Amino acid sequence: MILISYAVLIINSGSSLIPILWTLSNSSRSNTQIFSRFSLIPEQVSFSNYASMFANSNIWSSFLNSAVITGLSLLLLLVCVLPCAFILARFKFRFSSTIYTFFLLSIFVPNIVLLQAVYQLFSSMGLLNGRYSISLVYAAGQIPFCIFLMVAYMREVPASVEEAAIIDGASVWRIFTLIMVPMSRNGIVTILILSFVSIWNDYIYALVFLPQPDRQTLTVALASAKAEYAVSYGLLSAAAIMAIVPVFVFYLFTKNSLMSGMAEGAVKG
Amino acid sequence: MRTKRIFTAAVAVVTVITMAAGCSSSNSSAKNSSAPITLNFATNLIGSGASTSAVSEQLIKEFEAKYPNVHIELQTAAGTALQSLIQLSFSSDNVPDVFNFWRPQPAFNMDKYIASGKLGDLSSLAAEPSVKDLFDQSAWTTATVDGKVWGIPLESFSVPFIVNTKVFAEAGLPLPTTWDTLVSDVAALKAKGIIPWMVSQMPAEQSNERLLDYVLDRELGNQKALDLYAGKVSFKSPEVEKALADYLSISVNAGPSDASALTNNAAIAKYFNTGQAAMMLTNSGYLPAIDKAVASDMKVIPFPTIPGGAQTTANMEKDLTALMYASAKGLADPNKGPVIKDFLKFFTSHEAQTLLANQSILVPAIGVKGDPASTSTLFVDVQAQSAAAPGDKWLGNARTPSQQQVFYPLVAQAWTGAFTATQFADQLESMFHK
Amino acid sequence: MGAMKFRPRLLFFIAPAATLYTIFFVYPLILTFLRSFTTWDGISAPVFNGIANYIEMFHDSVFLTGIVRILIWAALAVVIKVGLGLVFAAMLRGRIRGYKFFTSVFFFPVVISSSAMCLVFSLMYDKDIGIINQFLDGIGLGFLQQSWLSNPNTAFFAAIAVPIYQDIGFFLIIFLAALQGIPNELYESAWIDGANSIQVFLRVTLPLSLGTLRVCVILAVTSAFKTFDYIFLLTGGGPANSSQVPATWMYQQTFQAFRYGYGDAIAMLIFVLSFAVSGLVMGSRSMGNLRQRPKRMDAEGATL
Repeated sequence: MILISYAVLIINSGSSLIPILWTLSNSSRSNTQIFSRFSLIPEQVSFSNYASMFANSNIWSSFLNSAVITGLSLLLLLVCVLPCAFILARFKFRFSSTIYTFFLLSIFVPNIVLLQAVYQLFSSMGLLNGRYSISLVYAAGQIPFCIFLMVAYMREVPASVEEAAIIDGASVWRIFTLIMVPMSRNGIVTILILSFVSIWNDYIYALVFLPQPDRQTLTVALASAKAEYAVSYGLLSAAAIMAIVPVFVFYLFTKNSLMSGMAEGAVKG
Repeated sequence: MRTKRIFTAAVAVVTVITMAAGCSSSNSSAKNSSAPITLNFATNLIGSGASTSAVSEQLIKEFEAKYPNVHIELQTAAGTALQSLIQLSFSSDNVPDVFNFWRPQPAFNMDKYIASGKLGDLSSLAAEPSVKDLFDQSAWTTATVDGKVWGIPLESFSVPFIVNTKVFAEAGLPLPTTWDTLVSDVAALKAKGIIPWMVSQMPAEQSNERLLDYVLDRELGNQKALDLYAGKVSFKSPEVEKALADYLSISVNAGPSDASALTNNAAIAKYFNTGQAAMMLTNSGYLPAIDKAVASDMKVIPFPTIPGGAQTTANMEKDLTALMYASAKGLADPNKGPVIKDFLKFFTSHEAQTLLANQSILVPAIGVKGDPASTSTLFVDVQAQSAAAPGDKWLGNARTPSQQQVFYPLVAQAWTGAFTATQFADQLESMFHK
Repeated sequence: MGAMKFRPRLLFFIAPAATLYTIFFVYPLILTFLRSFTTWDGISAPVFNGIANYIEMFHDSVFLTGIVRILIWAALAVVIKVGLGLVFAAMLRGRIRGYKFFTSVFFFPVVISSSAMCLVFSLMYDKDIGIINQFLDGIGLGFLQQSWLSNPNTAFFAAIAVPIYQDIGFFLIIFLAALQGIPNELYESAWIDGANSIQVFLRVTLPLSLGTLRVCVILAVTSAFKTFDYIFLLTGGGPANSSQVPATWMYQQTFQAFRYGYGDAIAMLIFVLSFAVSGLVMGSRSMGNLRQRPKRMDAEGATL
């Protein structure tokens, strides 16, 4: 049985890695090479495709834009969600279920649906000129689901810890910052990852709200590279790798804390 | 307590950053003309790899050098994504000061833009001799709607019929200069495992209907074909069904099998440049994608007339494809208005048109030809043929955007042999005939 | 629930979330809802037309097949993403050798940008030099080769394979966490009782992760209903609308055919449908029992 497990795991590892490796290999080859012969190992190690992409496209700068916008959105998200979930999870009051349901209903709304309305809203509020105003929309879009998860996580904290703190004379604010937030670390990591993926990957809002070349995000830059460089699979492969490498490096450094953050304690429904 | 203050400060800082970044200074309608002016220019001419990129960027730099107080702020979207951008801008009163776009026709929602009053009327600019004489009458006719000129001509297109002479020679087949030869060539090519047509079936590319359009033009005449799509004439008549049958006879399964996943540029790179496809009938804007190394094998020939058809001359579909537009608000502004006009003149000047032509783009300016050294003999021939051939209007002019959405996937299905001529006629009839 | 007493000024804690959410989410949503009862071309004034858009929707074959497609997608997503995630987590639970390596590798695709993934896969799906067709050829299944994204029969499945593939690692991590919470004694006593691996999975692992399972199923289902980017970037809904889902169809109707009212009606329906399906999942009896925490049991099966 253990052998079968290993076999399956190794096959899946292959499927996780081989696409990237193949793309990496192609990024080193020229278009004629790619089209004439299939191969996992490139004929030569060449960086000319990368040099072209650096010179002729904005993949690097768009990566930075994506990073800043995503970071800002996540920060805004935390600032909004954590206090709100704290109140909804730990306090009983008359409207708590109403407010909770109010937030939750929109989990099922696909973002694309609101594009036109949000664009008009931005236009009338004068936000279209802002480099980072799109973070407001991104954060707002993630609020429903993050509140749902955070409330679930925060409900799991035993009341005894709070009681001890109250006896010690701690204020609500202190309980929030010094007890609840640290103890919900796992939930925080989970919502950060979920939201990160969603915001980082967004295409259509970024396309429409950030059309200026110096403000474009990575997703949009890659999509237009695909349109413009459709002739050259080598260049496209290089573009894809350029988008993946920084995330990979970041991932190498943070994966341990990411995974242990999610691993302690189960997700409670 | 301290954490609470830090928290409040954090909230304040984060919100302020996002909001302030949102309301950052944009342009100014300053009182005196030497104050800095920012022009918003929305375009799809610039973007990684677009052949017009370098030219457009150069022109912008030159303009900014000539007018030091002017800054051109770009908004780019690749290809047809520009349509989404402009649509949103008109729907929210955010029209860019200057933008390039397609023709002022309903197919591009332009009738709605004109009706909204937010599009700038360029009639006075077009009346200036230096501008007027640059382009011939047919270009101005396209740019004029209801007696007013809305855009300055920028790029033209035609639909040349390009064949790979080397492929034909190696297959031992004559070039398809007559209709009968075309029919037999398609069959023979298929038999030899050569793909007859390089074509992209991706709906967003809007290019898989060229062959159908040409057959309809040849057999019915351009006006009647336009009337068909406008819903004024029925598809269910013997001559239309014959035209459709003729079309299907040279198109069914005659394109690449993965055509739906390929854009025009990709399909050209994959099939036409490699000699796997023999013929190409698409917008001349894709000429730069033909590999210069093999361009000498390519030849442009007139699309054959069809015996018994209404058209006896080898017309070509051609027209303006891109024009420069301005927003009504920008034009009306006392400081910006003159700068906008100067920019439009500059961007469509004889010199600018020459630069574009050198990139193998067809331009509407009279007498501008690209430098053969930087283009290719193929392009020179396309230019010559486009100038000489009588013109047909693009049949898509009669289709609405909503119909286009359904039309291109339908044509893609027809390419796979999903319909007989009668079934195809039925489909088109239910789509177009009111 | 906590031990603290509520005071009205604590509502300030909710203020940032409520403000942001109301302005940038609820308000546009209401606008969209109202507009779904109109005909609007985006530029001129909207014209009220009652429920005409909704009626049209139920005759729209592209829309209706799109609904079928997302239901299929949701089912596949649950079985593959959640199912495989759980199975892999069960395999890795015992901290076997290479555990860290496998977990890291499986989670990696999750953090890659969707458009980079789409780019990689569209090259992989290429009919001639794409790795998938080459692989099939190499293992003797050459007759299965296709132009995956251009064949109307395979385009949809080829397109959704990408997000499903990317997300398996995410669910793996979640389940791994959930499984760590199951006491080892339960597994040991099952082994002692002579159960084989499959029985252990069905009798121990599965029941005790039902709570997590429920949340993951909802995640997978809503994701299938909402996701727009992958299909848009890979096939654009084609060929011949064979991979069109309500979200992409809604985009086309609104932004390319300029029928805003109709697009908004489609949008509202996606909302209602997701809500209904998720409500079904949340409310279903077998899942309902697990609203409480899984009971903790000691080594002899007694409830603690």
